[in-house]
Amino acid sequence: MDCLTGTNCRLIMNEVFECDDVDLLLARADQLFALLPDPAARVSLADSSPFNT
Amino acid sequence: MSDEFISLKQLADELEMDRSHARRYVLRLGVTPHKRRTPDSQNQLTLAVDINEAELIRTKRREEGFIGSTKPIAKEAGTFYVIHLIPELDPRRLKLGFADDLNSRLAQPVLPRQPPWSLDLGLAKGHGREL
Repeated sequence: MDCLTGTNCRLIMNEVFECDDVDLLLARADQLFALLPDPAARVSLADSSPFNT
Repeated sequence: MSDEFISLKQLADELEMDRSHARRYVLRLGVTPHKRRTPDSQNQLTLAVDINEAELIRTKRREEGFIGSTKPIAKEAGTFYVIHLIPELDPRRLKLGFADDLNSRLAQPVLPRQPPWSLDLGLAKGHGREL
């Protein structure tokens, strides 16, 4: 939430904000969430990982 | 039901939750807060739960890994939402939040004591925008 509201938004209270450009906020959200992995996905193990045993 | 009550505010502080989040969480557990005068409310009526309900809520939070968090939290996926609160008053006013169950969240009032006319769930689903 802080990532999305850090620019062009002002806190009113709790999780309510006044944002000058909603489209910009949504675009920023799209960029942020595009970076996040699928919660079900797990990183594959390297051959040298001790977790392979 | 016990005669001893703890205010929702005090319980929320103890559980390190936002008060409105705590209220929604309690309602989702099927607990209906009572209006009581409690020591920490300076004799004003406030939402409160009895001590048995408070213990149930603490237990639930503990089981979910929110207290003494050595246990991994099983449920980590959810939906981040943006709601256009009162577009006819101020189109810049937005409610941001996270819900592990979006449908159940949207079925609840967005803000406490919110009159029905002030709610436009548009941005989350309608207005063609969905995160």
